[in-house]
Amino acid sequence: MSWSEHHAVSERYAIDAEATRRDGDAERAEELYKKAAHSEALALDSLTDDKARTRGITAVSVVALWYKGREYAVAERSAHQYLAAGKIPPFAESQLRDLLSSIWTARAAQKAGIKFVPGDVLVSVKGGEVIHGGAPLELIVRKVEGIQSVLYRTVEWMLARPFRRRGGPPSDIQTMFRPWLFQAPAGSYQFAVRMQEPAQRALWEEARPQIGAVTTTFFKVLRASASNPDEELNVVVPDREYRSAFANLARNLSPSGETFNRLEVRDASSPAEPIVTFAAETRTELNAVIRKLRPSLSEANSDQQVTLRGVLRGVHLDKDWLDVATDEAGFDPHITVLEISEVLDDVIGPMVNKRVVVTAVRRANKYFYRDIELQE
Amino acid sequence: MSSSFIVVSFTRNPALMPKQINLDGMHERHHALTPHIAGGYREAAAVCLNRHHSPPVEITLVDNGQDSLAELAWIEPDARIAAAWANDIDATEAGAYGCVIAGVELARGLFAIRRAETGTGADYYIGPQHSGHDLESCLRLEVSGLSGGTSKDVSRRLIEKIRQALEGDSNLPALAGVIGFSARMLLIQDVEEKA
Repeated sequence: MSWSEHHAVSERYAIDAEATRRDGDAERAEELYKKAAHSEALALDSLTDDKARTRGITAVSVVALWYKGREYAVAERSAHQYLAAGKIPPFAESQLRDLLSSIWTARAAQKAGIKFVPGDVLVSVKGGEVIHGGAPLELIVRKVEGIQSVLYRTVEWMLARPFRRRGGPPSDIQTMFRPWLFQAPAGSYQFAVRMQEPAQRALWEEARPQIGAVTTTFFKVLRASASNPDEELNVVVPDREYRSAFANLARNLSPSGETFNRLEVRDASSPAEPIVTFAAETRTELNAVIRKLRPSLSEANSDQQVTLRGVLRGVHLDKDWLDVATDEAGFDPHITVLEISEVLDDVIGPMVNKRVVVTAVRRANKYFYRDIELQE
Repeated sequence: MSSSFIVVSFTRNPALMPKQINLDGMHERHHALTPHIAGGYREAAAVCLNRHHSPPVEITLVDNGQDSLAELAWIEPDARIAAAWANDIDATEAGAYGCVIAGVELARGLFAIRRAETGTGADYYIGPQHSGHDLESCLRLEVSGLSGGTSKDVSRRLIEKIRQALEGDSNLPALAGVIGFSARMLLIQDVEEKA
């Protein structure tokens, strides 16, 4: 049989496997993927060396199919074999190395009894200081916290809980989530956030939203925040307070382009395409929306809008002030900014002791809060 | 007495009719699509389009920056089909595959001839119909779709898609296609090969 014939058989098995997986029969889907891999390997064997491009694509396909069939040992062995033979073009070598990274991660997860399921959220941070499988720890910790904050807010909003201005999420909601960090594929740093079923289901059963519904809503909120915060976010989140919270939390996730360039959010069970992409322009659009959403300040003739850059040294939400240590000329080293009642704990919390940009109104030597964002 | 009849037939001038993006019977023209997959793509596209429009609609088709208009028709989905494609993300992805593959067929005369697996999904390879004895001269197709959003968002997604294709450590020639279901816009762009 020719490459074309073997490949056609493999295609059919792979298409059936995908449909079966979508229908929820993971075990049967894995069997079909293994059959597809077997046929694809035969297709590869039937190729002559001069078909370099076809060899490369087919070799990647073979390893990907064994990987999808959760036959990790065979997938790993095949990838090493094709790399060692040296008969495939550089693009395929690179893709095989990426696949090996995914295979090792999956094997490690399998050993630890962890299995990705629909609803797991994959977050990739790319560009800037982020390198192959590595990123500044502080950046990743902040983004993990940021994603978790959006998830908590999503559940609180879905459960119609009173809007939370101070403190962390209620403990009952906190027990629903457990973040996991995984090794990055090449070119980015990636982590996965998983929602975990609460240990005491009985206490929850009545009120708890389904995990699938939470992540679907989470994706919708993030996508509206990133792609069309001015219009779509209005439709998805009609409540003004929650809308403002989501816009602020989404801005915390957005890059300014210095430390990193892009943050992508994917459904771990279907990671081919990001559901949401935060780029530097997302931050600009969110800034405009946040400006519209914030309450107006009574104006005085002597008002002067100022931008303070420095380190956020202290916050007292109950006493309504924050302190910025700034080294900018023309300002005192420590500036107290008043009337911060609009600020939310989960928005400003991750900014403490970090460089921030505060927008304020100066009136008679006092500073009144308008906005704060991280200086990434 | 005999009577005579004058028959007047009103037909549309084909030269003035917009081109049509054909979602019907795609498996008969595209070797890489099985009847099941093609049917799924057609249903998903109908669900996505029906969220914003009534059939038929005129779509702005932009191929490498050249604008033209094309008509896109679909059968309004019944409750069963709508329920089957209730997941917004799955529907948008499948609907985008259907519309972009049909759009590339119309704009370039190319067909989805093969499909190959990757770690995160599958790539379609496009080429002239009945080609596909190997993948030496095929283009890889990168597909994306937006349910909502404006034409600006669709253009932004295309740039993003091209950036992803270039980042992918693959120097294979590729074609990127993005459909905006609300924006009624389909963008197709060659992805330049890396040196």
